[in-house]
Amino acid sequence: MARRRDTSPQTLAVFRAFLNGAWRYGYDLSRETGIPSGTLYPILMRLSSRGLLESRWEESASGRRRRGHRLTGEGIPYAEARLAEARTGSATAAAAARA
Amino acid sequence: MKRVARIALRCALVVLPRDRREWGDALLAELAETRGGLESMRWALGGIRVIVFSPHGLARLAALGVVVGVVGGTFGNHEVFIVVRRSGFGSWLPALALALPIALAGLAAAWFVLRRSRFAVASAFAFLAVVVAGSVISLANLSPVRPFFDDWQQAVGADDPRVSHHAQELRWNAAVGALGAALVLLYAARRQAKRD
Repeated sequence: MARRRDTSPQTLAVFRAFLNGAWRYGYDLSRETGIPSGTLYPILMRLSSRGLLESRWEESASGRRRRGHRLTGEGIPYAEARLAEARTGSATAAAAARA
Repeated sequence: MKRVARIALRCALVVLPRDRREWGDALLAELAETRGGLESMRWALGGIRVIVFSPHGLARLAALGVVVGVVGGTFGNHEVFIVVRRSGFGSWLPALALALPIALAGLAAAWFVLRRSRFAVASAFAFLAVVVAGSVISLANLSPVRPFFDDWQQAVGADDPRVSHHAQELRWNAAVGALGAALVLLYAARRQAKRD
């Protein structure tokens, strides 16, 4: 059976962290989600190459240049749909386990 | 430790193609935000993994490895050719005629892979083919390899068993190194082509 795209726990955690629409930095995302840089950046790069994520350079409060990321207009409904699917999937699995 | 992490990550950035450089710079910029040496090292190692094992990163690394291998191999073995030539033996020329196309095929394949050319996979295949042919000739000790090394042994002292051992070692190192490099380059070129 083919594996569904963007349904890994890590990708869903990234979607969840982005849902408020704010610009987020890589290190902050990594700390919040617990995903290491070696896993986080391939996810960000993949989403970006599909037009679901946008990035820009900005100056942080510390005065250092940082790369901010956020979901695009297309990315937000996509992320919401994947998260809703994941919730439905886990609810169905829980119901099946109870039965 | 943060400094070491920064240097390591910066070195890895060399293999990133231009259109991916921003992601590498982003990883580097975030490294400055990490807290503590261990945390920064973990961040840098994750970043290096992303860079090196990305299709383009691996392809560039393999291509650079082939260039370094060809240049290093030429530099390391040129002395053997010079010794044979200076001793008045003519076997260096056919041996060079065998080694040169392999080296040029390697450099051409590396160039095409670095340029992400549509000929990258084909040239990597061609490189592998000439490396296999050259390795078979070399390891089977066929002509022109055999007369060349016989002449070399004679030139530097045929009685010394270390010379014979060294000749065998040279052949094996060159064959295994070139085969490994050609296989990795082909794998990386195919992976890069799939992504492109």
